[in-house]
Order: sequence, then C-alpha cells, then structure tokens
Amino acid sequence: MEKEFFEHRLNINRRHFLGKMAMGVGGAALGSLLIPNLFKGSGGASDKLPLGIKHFASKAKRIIMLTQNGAPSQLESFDYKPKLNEMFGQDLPDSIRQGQRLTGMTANQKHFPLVGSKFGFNQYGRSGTWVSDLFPNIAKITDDICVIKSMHTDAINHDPALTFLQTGAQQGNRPSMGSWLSYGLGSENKNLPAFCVLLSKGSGNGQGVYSKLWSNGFLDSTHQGIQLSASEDPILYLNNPKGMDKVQRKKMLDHLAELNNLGYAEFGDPEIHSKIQQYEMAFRMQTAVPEITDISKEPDHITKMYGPDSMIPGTYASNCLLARKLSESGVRFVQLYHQGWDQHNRLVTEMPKQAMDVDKASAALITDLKQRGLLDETLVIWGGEFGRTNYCQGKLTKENYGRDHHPRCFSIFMAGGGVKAGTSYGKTDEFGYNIVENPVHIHDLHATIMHLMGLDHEKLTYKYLGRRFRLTDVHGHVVKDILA
Amino acid sequence: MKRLESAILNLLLLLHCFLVIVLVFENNMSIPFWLQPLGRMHPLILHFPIVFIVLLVVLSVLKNQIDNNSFQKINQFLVLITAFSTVLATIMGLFLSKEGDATDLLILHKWMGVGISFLMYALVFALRNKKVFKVILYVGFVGVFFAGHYGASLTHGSNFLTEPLKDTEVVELNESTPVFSGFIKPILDAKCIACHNPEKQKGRLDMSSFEKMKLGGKEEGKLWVAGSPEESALLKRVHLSVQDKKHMPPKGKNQLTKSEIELINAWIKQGADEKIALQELPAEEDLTLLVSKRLADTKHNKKIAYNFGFADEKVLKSLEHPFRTVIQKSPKSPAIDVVINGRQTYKPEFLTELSVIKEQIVSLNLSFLPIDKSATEFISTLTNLEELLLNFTDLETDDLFPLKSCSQLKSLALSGTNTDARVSTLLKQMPMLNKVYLWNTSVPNEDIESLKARFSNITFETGFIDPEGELKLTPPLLLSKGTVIAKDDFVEFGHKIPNVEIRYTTDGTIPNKLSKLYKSPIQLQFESSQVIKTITFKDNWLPSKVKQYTFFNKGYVPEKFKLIHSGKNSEFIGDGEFILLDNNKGQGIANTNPYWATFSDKKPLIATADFGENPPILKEIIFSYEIPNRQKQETLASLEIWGGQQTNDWKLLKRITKKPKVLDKNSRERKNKLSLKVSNGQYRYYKIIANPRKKQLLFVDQLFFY
Repeated sequence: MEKEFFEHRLNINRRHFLGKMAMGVGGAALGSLLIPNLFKGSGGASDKLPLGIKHFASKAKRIIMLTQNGAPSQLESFDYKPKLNEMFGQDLPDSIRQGQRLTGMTANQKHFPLVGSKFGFNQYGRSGTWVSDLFPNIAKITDDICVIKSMHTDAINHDPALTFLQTGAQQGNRPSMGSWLSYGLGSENKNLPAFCVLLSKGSGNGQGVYSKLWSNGFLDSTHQGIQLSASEDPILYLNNPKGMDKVQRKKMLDHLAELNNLGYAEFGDPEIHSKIQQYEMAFRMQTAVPEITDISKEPDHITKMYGPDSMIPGTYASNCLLARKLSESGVRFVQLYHQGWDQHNRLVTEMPKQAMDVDKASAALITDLKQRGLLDETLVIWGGEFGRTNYCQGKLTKENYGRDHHPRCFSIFMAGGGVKAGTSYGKTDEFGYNIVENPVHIHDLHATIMHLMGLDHEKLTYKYLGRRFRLTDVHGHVVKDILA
Repeated sequence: MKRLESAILNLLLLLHCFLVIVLVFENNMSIPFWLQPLGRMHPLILHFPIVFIVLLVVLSVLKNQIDNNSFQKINQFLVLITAFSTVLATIMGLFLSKEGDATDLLILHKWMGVGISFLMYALVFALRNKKVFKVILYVGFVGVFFAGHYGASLTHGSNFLTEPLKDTEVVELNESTPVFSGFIKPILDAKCIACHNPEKQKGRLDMSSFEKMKLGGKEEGKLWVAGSPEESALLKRVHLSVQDKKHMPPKGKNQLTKSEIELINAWIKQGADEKIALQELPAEEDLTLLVSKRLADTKHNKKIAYNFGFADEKVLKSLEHPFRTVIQKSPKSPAIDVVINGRQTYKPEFLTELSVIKEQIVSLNLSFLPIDKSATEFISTLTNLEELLLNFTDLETDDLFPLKSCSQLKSLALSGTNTDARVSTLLKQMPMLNKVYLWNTSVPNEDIESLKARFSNITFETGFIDPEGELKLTPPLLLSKGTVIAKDDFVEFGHKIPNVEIRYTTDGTIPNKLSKLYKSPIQLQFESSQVIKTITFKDNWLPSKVKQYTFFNKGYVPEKFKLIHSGKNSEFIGDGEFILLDNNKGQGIANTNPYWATFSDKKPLIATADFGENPPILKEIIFSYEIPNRQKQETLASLEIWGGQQTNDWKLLKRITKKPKVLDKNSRERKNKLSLKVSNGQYRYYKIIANPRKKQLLFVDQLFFY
C-alpha cells in the first residue's frame, strides 16, 4: 500500500510540473536563449550570478568584432607592396615560397605569376597609415586605428581558419571568444544576452558561417552566442501574442506566478521558484529589447554616416548600427560576420563591391562610438581568417586576377579599448609573402584581446575532461607594443 | 653491500685528495675544454647533496620510529652517498668557477661548498659517535642552506629572493629628469641587469651604472658609439635575429619592445649623454619626441592610489538589480563602475540607492535614461567620480550645474542632450576635466570653437560632420504581407528613414517627382496581376532606384485541396497542399526554401480542387513554376486541366505540352506562369495534372483560380 501511495504522489508531481511547463513553452524557449542560468536550476539564478570581475583594471569593457568572412586580400587593403606591381607576371621566387604547401586550388599551377594591387594606395592621417583606394572611409579614421600587418595563422582553409580565429582551435569543439568573455566577465546588462551574433552577406564569392563559430563549447550554454535574425524583428518570439497587450501580459504573468507560488509552497521545488523569476525577466526583456533594436529613431545624419543601407535589415551597415546599439546597451561581445570575401578569381570586379559594403559602415561605427565617448571602452576588431597570395590563381590578365588562400601573413585592424591608435604594427617582406618583423599569431591576438579586456589569458580557464582549457590553449603572448 | 661500501670509501678518499690538489693549484690551472661540460653539470648534481643532507636530518629525527638495525643500515649507506655526491658537486663547481670571473659572492659560495664537502666526509668517520655525528650533521644542514642561497644569487642575481617583496622605488619623472636615469636605465634594469651585474658579469659586462657600462664587455668592447647607433654593440646585438646565439637578450628571456629599442636608438644618436634632460634637448630631435611621449604616458597612467576603502561585498550584492550593473574594477581595486539600463523601466531609486557606495563609484553610465536635476544633484555627492556618461538623457543645461562638486571628473559625455553653450560655466569649475563629448547637442559650432580655444586642457569631441555631396536613398519597403492579395486588400509601403516621400505609378511607367504621392495604403483594382513601380525622394538625398512590385490577385480559393504526391522530394521540403495555395510567391530556389513544392516523373503533380456546392464560374487557372539555373532544360512535359461535377467523372478542359528545350541561364522562360483559359467552367471539381520530364524536378510555387 505504502509503495502505491508513493508512486501515485510521484505521478501527480510530474503531471503537475508538465502542466505548468506547457503554459509557457514559448517563454521557456525564449528564456533559454536569452536568460543567463535558465536551466541551472538554482533558486534566484540571476542574483546568484558570480560578480563577473576583471583580473586587473583595464579600459575595454566590450568588444565588437567585424569578421570579414572569406579572407579579404591584405594586398588590396592595408599591405602596400609596389614591388609586386613592378614584377607583374613574373614567377614567385622559390626563395620566398620556401616550399610552402599550397591549397589544392593552386598547387598544380605550373606558374605562380606575381600580381600587385590594381587599386592605388595612399598614406593617410598623422600616422601615415597605408590604405588602398577601396577603403576611402577607413582611410579617414587611420588615426583611430591600429593596423596589424603581420598576422599569421595555422590553417589554410576557411572553415578551420575561421574556427581557429573564433575559438582558438581548428576542430570546432571549443568555446568561442565571445563565450569565454561572457564566462569571464559576465553580462553588463542582465536583460540582454552577453554575446550576440549578426550575419550579413556581400555579393562576392561567399563561404559559410556555422553556429559552431559562436558555440559555447564545453562552457555553460548560457554563454552561447545569440544569433539575431535579419528580419524586421531581430530577436524572435519577443512580441506578445496577437490580441494581448502589455498590461494583460503582466496580469497573466502575475497570475501564473501566484499559481507557481502555490506549487512552490506545496512541493518546495526550487526549479519552480527560478521559473517564476525567468518569466519576469522575459517580461522585462520585452521592453528592453525593442528600445535597443529599433533603429528608426536614429537621427538622420546617423543614417547618412552608416550609409542608407543601414535602414535595410540584414545588411552589413544595418548590422553595424545594431552592433553599436547592442554594445552601447552593455552586450559584452557583438560578433558580426560579413560573407563574400573569397576572391579566387575576378578579384578586381568583386572586391570593390565587398569593400563598398563594409567601408563606410565600419568607419561609421568607430566614429559613432567615439562621438559618444564609448570608443575608449569598446574594442573594435576588423579582419578575416587569413590572407591571400601574392600570386595569381588561374589566368592572369591585365584587367583581372584572383588570389588563393595565404595563412602566412594578413592584415587586420583594431580600434579603441586601450589599443594604441594611429599605428601600424609588424612588417611583411617586399613580396608580401612572409613576415619579417613582429609576427602576431592568432593565439597572440587572443591573448592581447583578453589583456585589453582585463583578463589574464593564462588564468581564465575551465576544467573539462580532466584538463584546464584556455582560449589560447598553451600558447599566446600579449603584444605589448600595441597597447596604449 | 660490504664491497660497495668499501669501494665508495676508497673513492671518497681519492676525490677529497683530488679536491685538495685542485684547491692548492687553483690559480695555475685551466680547465680543458672537454672537462667543461662536467663543470656545467654542477647545477644538476648539486641538488643531490642538498636532498641527501635533508634526508639524513629527517632520518635522525625519526630515529626512534625505526628499529635500530634498519636505521643503522640506512643511515650508514645514506651517509656514504651523501659524502660522495657532495664532493662530486664541489669538484664540478670548482671546474665551473674557472669559466667566469671570481667575484666575492663566488668565492664565498666556493669555500662554503668545500667546507660542506669535508664535513660530510667527516660524517663517515663519526658514524659511531652519536654526539659528534649530530653536531656535524646539523652544521652541514645549516651550511647547505647558505651555500645554496649564495649559489642561487650567482645565477639569478643577488636580489632575486627579495625582489618581489620590494616596492620599486617610484621616482617622480619630469622635464628635468636626466633621460638616462629616468627612461633608459629602467629599461636596462628590467631586461639586462639580471645577467650583467657586479656579481654576475656575463661576457664581463656590468650594466649596473653608467660608468660601468662605459667600460663595456669582453667581446665587443664599448657598448655604444655616441652619435651612431648603427655601430653600437648594444643595439647590434638587439637587432640580430632571435635565433642568433649573440642576440640579446637571449632567446627565451624577456625581449626589448619596439618602442624601447627606438628610445635607446634615439638616445645614442643624440650623443648618449648621461646627464642630459628633456628640457635641454632640441625640440626637433627624435629623442625629444619619444621622451616627451613617454613622459606624457607615465603621467597619464600614473597609478591612482585611491584613498577610499573597498565596498562591502554584501552591500554590492544587495545593489544587484536586473536594470543596474555594479562592478568593481578588479579584485585589487576598490573603484566601482555603475551602469543603469532601460529607459521605460527607470526609477529614481535605482540611482539614489547607490549612496551606500558613493565613495567607490568612479564611472557612471546613465545614457538614455529619463533623468532630471535630482539625478545630477545625487551625482554631485559622488566625490570620486571620474567618468560620467549622460548621452541622450533628458537633462537640460541648467540641470548640469550641480556636477561642479565632482572635483575628480575627467570625462563627461553629453552627446545627444539639449546642452547649450552655457555649459562653459560648468566646465570652468571642473579642473580635472580633460574630455567632453558634445556631439549632437544644442551647442552651435562656433561656440564649440570658442570653447576649444578657452579650455586648452579639454578635448572636445564633436563627432561626425555631414558629408559633402548627397547620398542615395533606398527604395521603399513593402510593409503589407505578401504580393498575392485579395481584390480588396490594401498594399502598404514604408521607409525606415523618417519623412521620405514615396511616389509610385500603376500604369507601368517609370515614376518621377510628379508621380502619385503615396500617403496611405493603396487598394488595388485588378484582374490577375498588377505592377506598381515605386521611388523615394527626400531633400538633401538623391532619389532611390525604381523598385517594381508585382501583385497577384488571390482569386478563388477552393474549399478543399488534395494532392496525390505531397510535393516533398529528397532535400526539398515544401509541403505542396499548403504551398500551392499559400499566397507566397517562391523566391530563389534553395533546398532550405520552403516556398516550393517539387514533383518528378515518378511523383507528378496531381491535384484535386473542390469548390463546394456552389462553385464560382472560373475563367482562368494560372500555374506558376520555375526552372532554376541548375536545370538546363525545360522541366515540364505536359499540363492538363480536368473538370467534373463528381470525382469519378472527369472531362479534359485544356492540355498544354511543352517541347524539350535547352534554356540559357537567366532566361525569361525560366520563370513561368502558364495561363489555362477555361471557358465558363462551372464545375465543382477541378483536377490539375502536371507531368515533369523524365529525371527532372519540377518546382511549383502557386496555383491561381480566377
């Protein structure tokens, strides 16, 4: 008899719980996306969040990463190599290539004809930074940025290289940089995810981006990157159902909370208690998020600054504008991807379009942060996963050419957040093939980014499978020369 | 065992004799090169005697825990190997000492080592006499610690042990600090002196003072040639590749940074003067620029020793709130950053509750909040506030004046507020202020210029200036849902940029400035389809491109609609029964796009539409399909329409057959709308059969019944 009674109670309990769950599956789904610690199961989850605190005081509080997916050519952007124009059509000397393994796309080429930039270069600003004619707006802000011309990576193909750039490993099972920062520093605004992802696509030859790039890996799933959709409503399922207004919603939630409190009194399950709070939080988010994602209230000249594309959801420009708004509201890490930079052929026709997509908005983002007094505390990073070869892939003509993947050197730039503005760091040889001064490996970049965020890359670890993991694995040196 | 013991005893005697000989003839000896590696094993071997001696002490302490017989055996053997390893380490150490110069520290270390070696040898003979044994052992135990410490001082520098404890002396740097002592020496102290000091003069170079450095080293002689950095040994070594043996600092040690090298380079170029200071330097020299920059940086980065204490952890916890973030700068800093979020949810308590940590708040961000003068009055009590962001708040200039009591404020952001030129009265009262953000405020440009002139210590950020030339607008967006609409549905357009003029035509002509102005949603009067061409205008902007929208009449909707084959093929997931009538035109075929139903010759489209008991009079059925670029040929073989009053009595109404035809990429024929006129078909049931060609997929997105 005793046993039957016990089982009966268990059944009721389960049914009871499921019944409650069904009342808000949508809410739970939304909550799990956006609320830290939703499925942690401890009572008062949000209040128990550890005080995300820096290892040491630093200027940067937030990051906006503008990933140029597909690898833009450094030779047509920041790394000026006039020697290549002089040697147009001549073969890449073996002394420079040093037997490097090439991709399957050009390895069988009989010749490796060198080709210089078809686009002009000029020095800009007090810093005299070299910028190509394809980026006229970035050229105007050279005194706010630090160009690193000596980046290098381990991988030669897009997926591993991009995964490496994002997670510090090529295999794709590690937490993304944004997840690490969310884990290390927590959220600055508890009504928003700490790590947001925005995607856009240019007209050029594209490469895919996958959610593994913003995966939380082995970290708690609350640190996962939240992809905002390109539609009119960047965060889905946030609006009230048809025919229900804010007051009704609140009333419904209050009643639900009352019922849940009854349940809590009856069973004492802490899960119930945390659920009540999560519904409350989702409700708060209903007011917090539209305030941020509504870009129609931006002043006219902001639109002009980012370019009219900024008013078309899903474009790079509108993502930049949204990134500023998210970052301004305390999102720790905003990750943008712009696809279409893989110019294996027809570089001369494709790259100007790609550059036009991003030039104005990237520069506008930095200027916009600056005029709000936020550039000091926001680190902006612009760059692809690797560089492109100094020789032509396929047929070289006077009018057009293409470039293959090149992991040995590429250029990125950073701005704000304690980076030494108006500098160029590192040097490649006159062929733009090998690095001759101050190489910066992806691990070094990660170490530097974390340093700028006030984190010691050797101390931020997570124990998993019996080993303490780091973003930089067992590598990485902070590039002190670029710290302001 | 006995034989081993006697062998060790003999060896011990031999080695100690050798040790005495080496010590006596030390000054007349030079170590042959093949013996040098043996000497260099000293740092390895020396750990054995240290451990063994400690072990002996431990053993003597635990003596009573072990039975006497075992103890004697262990103790005896341990003493033998202790003495053996000690003398070995000592001899090796002597060999090694011949490689460098004899400093005081080295001599001390040497004789302590020799002493311990003989003490341990004596221990072998004192095994019987417990008292003597103990005395010798403990003396040796203490001795080994000192010898070890001096040895470590030799390799790591004499202040190695205490270095982390010492506060580096803070010297106030200014224009009259000599460049050498203020800027060059600290670099050398950090990166060179560990190996080049009076105790450890690698390459016979001592870099502890300017005089010593002038003496130079063994190999290169002088460290620098004043005026020509290219010939200076110091920089030559630095510039060598890291892989080079002669590169300094050696591989693996902390390297000089680029800016440090630049500075040393400039100093040597200028003349490598010990006493010269910034104020005596000519203005145009590289050195002047570099030093003044470094000086500015040190002033800027000077560690602010906050004179307030840490906030209580419990207090911080109690301040946690969903719309407020309170974060301590770092575990070591009592300073606190505060951000308050959410315009709609803001309550004044969010701010006033912070009074418990009013000392600790150094940075406060209240951007976008609907705050008023009471907020700035509260802020004025935050005595240590350094950074304040009030962008896009509702504050007026008058509300800002209480801020004058924030005497530590360095950065004030007022972008997007109604602040006007009277703000200068406030700025005058804030001595520490060095950055003010006035973008998008009511301060006129000429006033900003005069502010800039008046407050030379403040950087004013005024932000983006409208670019010259006009930008092109984007075309209007379609706000109403879908392009397949019922006859009386409204079509709504909009634009994200405020106050944009939308003009349009419905007759197919290109719209211009004089075309019809869009004011409110349009109701279309059309049979099957209607083209609307739109354009946008706004002052100071270029007009947009013309964008064309084609709307389709929804027509009659059957009461029931059935498909024999669902329209799902391999990776194409569209559900035909829904898609063919869903009023959504398919766009761009991809296997993830759910707007297409797909059919093959094995699973053709066979649809039955039931218009109920009072069927409308149909005039036309339109079949809309597309041939994507991946398919080279026409994909449709034939299309038939059957009518009937019952589902078993069908009459063929119309049949179209398509010829196999190779199509160009982007050919117009790839997007097809086949019209099937059915004269006065008043049937209840219609059957549509579309047969794809063999091995071809047919993509269908919509059926219209008019």
